[in-house]
Amino acid sequence: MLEILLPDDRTAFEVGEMIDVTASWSLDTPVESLELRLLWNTIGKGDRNLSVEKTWKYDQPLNNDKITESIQLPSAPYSFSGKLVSLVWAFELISFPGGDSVRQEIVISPDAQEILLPNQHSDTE
Amino acid sequence: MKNISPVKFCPARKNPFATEHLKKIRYRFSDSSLNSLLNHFETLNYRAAIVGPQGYGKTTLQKELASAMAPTQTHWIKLREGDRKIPQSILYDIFSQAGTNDLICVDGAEQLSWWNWKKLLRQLGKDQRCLITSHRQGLLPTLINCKTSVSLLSDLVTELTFTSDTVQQKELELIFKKHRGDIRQSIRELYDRCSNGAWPASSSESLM
Repeated sequence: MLEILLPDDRTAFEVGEMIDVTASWSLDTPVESLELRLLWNTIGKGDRNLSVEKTWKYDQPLNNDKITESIQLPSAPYSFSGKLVSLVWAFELISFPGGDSVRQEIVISPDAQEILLPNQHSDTE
Repeated sequence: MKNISPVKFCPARKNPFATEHLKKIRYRFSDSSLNSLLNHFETLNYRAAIVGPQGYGKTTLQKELASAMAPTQTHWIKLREGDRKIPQSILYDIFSQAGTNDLICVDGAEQLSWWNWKKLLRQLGKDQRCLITSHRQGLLPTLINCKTSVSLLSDLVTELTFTSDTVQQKELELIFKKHRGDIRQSIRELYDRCSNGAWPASSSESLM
């Protein structure tokens, strides 16, 4: 089992915030390595864009263990959503070989709230 | 005085018809199976065409067949509308790397001019395999004619949204008819409807 634990179970953060992220695992069989990744991807009507911003690699991990990383969240891009596209930040913990993984989506923005694009609002009198 | 008020809409990340979800959908066989197609492909000496109009699942099926033929190495040539020829440099790269029994997949072979199609065929090695998608028959023996139906669209929508009701079925019939059986275009319309909160009507509130 792979698990990503965020501070106080929060999933929304301000840009540049320092947070402690814990990667925890309990494996039936040994793996060569584990990777914790901080990435963003787009999702929507078009093709997906993806950027892995930072990777922490754990070689020859014990079958049961957990590691906490102090991470400064990036200053951009912000989490946002529109009708056509959303930008989603996430932590992913992946085992190699095999590729088992777990993903924890988060929000990163100036006020720790997903930005809704302007055209998602209408002017009303 | 103007106030800004949110309009009911579905953010792209929650849209069940987003491209990322569509990529996970597998080809649906109506009167054959992957194994029977692989056998048929073998009887055609591994040179055949998946035929059908745009948006009928040809490329999806081509990818699944290529994947099922692993460890046979696959080399891809993807042609877009108006690509009447394949640049010589690409042909050189492919055929200099392709092994004796490798599979050459050409997606959109109908785009090539007759001359350039024949030129490509001539470059294939004796035992090299070739699987193409095409809007028209006649380039290679037909492996399968892809077909679509309202029930296929309905199945896909149910798989993507986990919902199904009779009102939607009628809407799906209209959408399917409007796009002349093109499942891709039908789902793109459903994406737009969903993003405007108009699909599925019964649960659009919860999409936010």
